[in-house]
Amino acid sequence: MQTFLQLSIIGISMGLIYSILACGLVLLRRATGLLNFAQGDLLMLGAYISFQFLVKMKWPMLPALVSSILVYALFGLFFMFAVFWPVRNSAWPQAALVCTIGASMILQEAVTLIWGSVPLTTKPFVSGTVSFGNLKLQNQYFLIMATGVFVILLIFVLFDKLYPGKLMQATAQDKYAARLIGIPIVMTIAFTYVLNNVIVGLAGYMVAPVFIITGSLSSLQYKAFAGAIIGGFGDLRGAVLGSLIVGLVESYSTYVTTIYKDAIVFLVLILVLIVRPQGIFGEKIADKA
Amino acid sequence: MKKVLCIVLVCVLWALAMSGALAEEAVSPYDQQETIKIGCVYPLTGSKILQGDYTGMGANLAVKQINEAGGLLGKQVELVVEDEGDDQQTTINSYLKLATRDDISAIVHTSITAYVLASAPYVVQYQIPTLQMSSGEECTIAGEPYMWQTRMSDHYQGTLLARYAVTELGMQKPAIVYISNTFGQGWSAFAEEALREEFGIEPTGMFAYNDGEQQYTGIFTQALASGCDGLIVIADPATAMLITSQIHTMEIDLPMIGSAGFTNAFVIDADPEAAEGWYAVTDWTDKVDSPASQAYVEAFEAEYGVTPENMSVYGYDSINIIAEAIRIAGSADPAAIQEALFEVDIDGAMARLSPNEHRSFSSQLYVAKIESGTPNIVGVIDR
Repeated sequence: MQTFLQLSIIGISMGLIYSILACGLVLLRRATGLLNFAQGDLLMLGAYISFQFLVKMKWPMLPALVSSILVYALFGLFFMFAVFWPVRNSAWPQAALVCTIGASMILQEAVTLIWGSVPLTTKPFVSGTVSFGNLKLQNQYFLIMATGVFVILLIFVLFDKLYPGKLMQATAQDKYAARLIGIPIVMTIAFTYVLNNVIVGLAGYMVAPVFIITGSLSSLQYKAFAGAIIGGFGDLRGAVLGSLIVGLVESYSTYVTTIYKDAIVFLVLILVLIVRPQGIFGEKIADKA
Repeated sequence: MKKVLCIVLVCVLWALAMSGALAEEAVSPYDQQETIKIGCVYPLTGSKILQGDYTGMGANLAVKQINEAGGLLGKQVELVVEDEGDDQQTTINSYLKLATRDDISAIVHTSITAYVLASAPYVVQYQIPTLQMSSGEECTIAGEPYMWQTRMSDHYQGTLLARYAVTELGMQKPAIVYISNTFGQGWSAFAEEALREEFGIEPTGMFAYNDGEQQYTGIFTQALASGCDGLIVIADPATAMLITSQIHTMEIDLPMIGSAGFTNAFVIDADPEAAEGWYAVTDWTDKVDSPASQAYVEAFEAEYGVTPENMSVYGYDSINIIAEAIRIAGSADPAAIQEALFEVDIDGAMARLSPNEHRSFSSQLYVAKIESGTPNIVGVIDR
């Protein structure tokens, strides 16, 4: 029972990390139509930037956090103009997607050039562990969970309640029509990229103390993709639920195997796609007669 | 008659002169180069660049020292480096770029066992003496007779890991947690075999994890749930850093012994408290107190301003092995170097370096214990 509870808590905390990445993916997808294969690399970059402010420059927590968020926002803007903007009107719809793959490779090498190849670490923001009998979990995990919940709620409120969210959705559905009714397309898309990068960068900032900061941090995105698809790509509720399912499946699969736990996650993905191709919350799109 | 005799005499003299000329030794084209070129394949890009950085630093330091001492055979040594990248094919391509040149006398090859094995057919084909830095035992067999091994093989290292765990740390029910690549599979297989055959012990579980894994709490939770009384952990340096940190938060009060990565300075420095008390089997740490080792540490720190790691000493000792073979052979010709390698017997930074029957040079392994942020040597095992 103790083992099950510990695995559950780990699974939920990892699921929330995946859900932040997945929400960012869905955000970009809904607002710009882009599938971003550099999402995990943006999280990795967020972790490196946190190291720069907290460890290299030794700034206190709050100024480091505010500065990091500013850097994430500016990089989001840069990312948009460097990766998406040049190919936005390409005759080949997958051009932007391929550009994100290239951006992923560039980011991987860039962080090594800037910060070196030695893995880096940052101290937990809240030190110590919480004990539940034999269970021990770093306090940092609870901070990650709280941040994850906050970010997810923020995104829900943005899309469902706030005007900028409606603008973003309108732009994603039909840019031409959105332009006709006076929606500032460039600003809307830029805002989406900035928001995505801030969310994902913040996730990197939070997970840096519990994982080491290396290029391999970007691999978290594969399970975020799986979570987003399981939940129904395009639906934020699905991104969250799907990612939590992924985190828990990954954790519980260690009862059976430790080496194939990733394979089990993607097996679940395949099964979901077979049984319910639109995902849990996705809407089935029927072929036209 | 006299004319005939004269002609015959001239012909005989001419024949004698020609046979003398032909009897002179042909000079190898490798010995006609302005510099002696040694090829090197290690990561310059990709996820394993950390290994590459340190290997390069070690290799370049060795070349610098050789050149400052006058070079080899009166010539300067030049390192020709190719990037092994992040995959097998890139490594093979890089090896072939070196092997198909006409001026590379010997090659220092990657430390990734799988990549070495993939390159083995080309090592045999091009017959360039190749000193590979992995510990995979099967590599020298696959590349026979031109593949050589700087380090001691997995067989010794995995076996020593198991022996020390039982005889010194008192484990009777160890769990083995290992990375799922060739290195981890090799070490874990030999450790399991040694536990079973030497001590009649079965591990409580064999828990493999993938390269790039971020979350180890679940894996070690399962290891503990198996009822183990100790942990044998096989990991590369970056992973060792993450494992020590995450295990530390679990407050596991069991003896733990790991592979060489756990002794790296940046692993220990990242979280000295987490590294405290870990044992590790390693080819080398900067605390090995032989004169050659300490001289290397001093020179490395003076050159680069950082503590050398075991990855750097592989490159350093590999270059020095080749250099010694060139001195013995008196030639930079690969065929001559191949023969001379059998006669190499030097004090390397790692250990005494001389080839055994498997063409493996290193003759010692060390057991280190991390105490107050230092990997102190607590055991030395000869081959």
